Amino acid sequence: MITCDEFFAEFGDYLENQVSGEVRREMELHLSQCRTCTVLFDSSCKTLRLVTDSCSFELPQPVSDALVDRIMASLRSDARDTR
Amino acid sequence: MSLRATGLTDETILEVAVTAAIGVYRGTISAALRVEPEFPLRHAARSRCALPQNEGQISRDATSWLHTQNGPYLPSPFLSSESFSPFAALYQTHGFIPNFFRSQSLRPDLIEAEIDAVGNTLQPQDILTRVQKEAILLAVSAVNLNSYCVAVHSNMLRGMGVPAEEADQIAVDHHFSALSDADKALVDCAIKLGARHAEFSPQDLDELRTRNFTEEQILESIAVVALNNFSNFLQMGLGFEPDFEVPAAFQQAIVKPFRPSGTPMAGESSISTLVTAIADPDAELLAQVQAGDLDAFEILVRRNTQSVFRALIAILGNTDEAQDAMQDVFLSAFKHIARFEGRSKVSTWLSAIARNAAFQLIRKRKDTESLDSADSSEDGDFRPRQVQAWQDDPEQSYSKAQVRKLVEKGILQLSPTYRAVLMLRDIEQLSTDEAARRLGLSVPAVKTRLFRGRLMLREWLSPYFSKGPGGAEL
Repeated sequence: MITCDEFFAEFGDYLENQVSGEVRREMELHLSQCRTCTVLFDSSCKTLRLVTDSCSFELPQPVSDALVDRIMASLRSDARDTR
Repeated sequence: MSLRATGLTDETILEVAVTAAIGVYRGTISAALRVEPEFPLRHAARSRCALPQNEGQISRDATSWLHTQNGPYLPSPFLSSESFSPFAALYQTHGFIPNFFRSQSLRPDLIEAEIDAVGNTLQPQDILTRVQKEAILLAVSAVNLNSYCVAVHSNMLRGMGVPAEEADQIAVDHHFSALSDADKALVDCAIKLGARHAEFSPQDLDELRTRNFTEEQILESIAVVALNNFSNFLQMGLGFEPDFEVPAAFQQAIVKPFRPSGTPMAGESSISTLVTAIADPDAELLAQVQAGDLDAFEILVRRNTQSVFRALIAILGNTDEAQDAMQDVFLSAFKHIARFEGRSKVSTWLSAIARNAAFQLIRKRKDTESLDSADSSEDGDFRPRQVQAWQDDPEQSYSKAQVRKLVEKGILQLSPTYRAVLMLRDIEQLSTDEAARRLGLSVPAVKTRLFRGRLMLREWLSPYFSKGPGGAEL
C-alpha cells in the first residue's frame, strides 16, 4: 500500500480526477485504511463544495449598474466633446 | 527526446528546433523564388536535394505521432512580463502569452527576434491585407495538420470580423469560402508552396500575375508562407499545446487534403467543432466597438463586470479597492480596444487589463508580492495540520450568507499567488488551461498553486466546520 506521503503527492490530481486507474485504486486502498488521509480528503471535497456553491465575490447588481452608468456617461461625454 | 541521450542541453535542443524551422523558412522562400545557390552544390548533397515527389508533403501517417505525444518537449522557465518587456507588449495586444513564445523562454533573445519578424511580416497592410495573410496562414496550417496554428489563425480571422463559418470553410476547403477568386488563387499557390512544394512551379506565380497581383504582393505572400512553415515546424519540434481549447475529437481529425476541386465542408469535419469551441461570444461586439459603437461597449462592460471585479480582488485582496479600480479598468480598455487584435477572448483581455491595474496599485502601496512569486517560498512546504473530521453537512451549520462570508474571508487571507488561481478555477469555474492563459502561468504552475490554495483554505475553514465542541466563533 502507498504511504501517506505518496498519497499526498498525488492528492491534487486525485481531487481533479486526473489520475490513472491504477493510481486511483492505490489511492482508494490507502483511503480505506488511513483515517488522517480520509479526513483530509473529505474536508477538501467539502471545502471545494462550499467555495463553488457560495456565489462569492459578486458585485451587487445596484453597485454594478451604477458603475456601468458612470463609465458610459464619461465616455459619451468625451464623444460629444470630440464632435 | 533522444537528443538528450546524446548529452545535448535543453538550450541546444531548442536551438536545433529553431534552426531547423529557419531552414524550412529559407527553404520555402528559395523554392518559391528559385534562388540560385551562391556556391556550387557538392555531388553528395545533390542526391539529398533530389526529393521524391511526395517528400515535401506532410502525410497524415507521418504526423500521426503528433497526435499521441504530449508536449511541450522542453522546459519553459518562467519569464515575467514585468521584467521582460516583449511579454508585457504581448499582454497588451493578446491578453495572454501565447505558448508559441512561452515555450521558447530558455532563449528570450530568440523570442524578441521572432516577435519582430512576425510583426514586420504580418502587420503592414499596404501590400496584402491582414485578412489575406491570415487566410494563407490558416489554410496552409490546416493542410499541414497543425492544430495549434489552425486555432490561432481561425481566432485571428474572427477577431477581424470574419464569421466563424467562413474561417471554418477556409480551413477545410477554401474553394467553397467567400474569398474572391483572386484570393482563392492566392491561397492555392500558398498551399502548394507551403505544404506541397513538390507540386509548386513558377507557373503558379504566373497564375497570380494574371490575377493582377503585383510583384510586391507575390513576394509578401511567399514570405507569409515561409513564416507559416517556420511556425508549423517550430510547433512540431517543441510540442507546445494550443492556446485555445481544442476538442479531443480534433486529435483524430481528418483534414481534407488540398485538391483542385472539392466539395463544401462536410458535417463530420472536426475543424468546425474546433472553431466553435474557441469562439468568443464577445467577438461581434468587439467588432462593433472597434467601429465606434458605444452601445456595444456598454453591453461588453455589463457582460464582464463580475469577472473584472474578481480579477481585481484576486490581486488586491480587498473588495473596496477592487470596486474603486473598476472604472479605470474599463476606461483603459476602451482607450486601447482599437489596438486589440482579438487573439484572445475579450474577457481574457479585460482580465489582463484588470490584473495590470491591480499590480500598479499594489506597487503604489509597496506591497511587492505578485503572481510571479516563485513556488519555492515557505508555502511550498505547506502541509495540512488540521485533521479533525468535518461535519457531514457543513452548509447546515450557518446561513447561506454566513457561509459566503466565511468563504470570502478565507479566500482573502490567502496570498495573491494562490488566491488568483483558486478564484479562477473554483469560483469562475474556468478550466486549468484558461486559468493558465489568463494568469500567464504554465499549466503545472496553476495545478500546484490550486492544490496548495485549496489546502490552505481548507485549513482556515476547518475550525468553523469541524465536528465536536470548540469550533471557532463567526
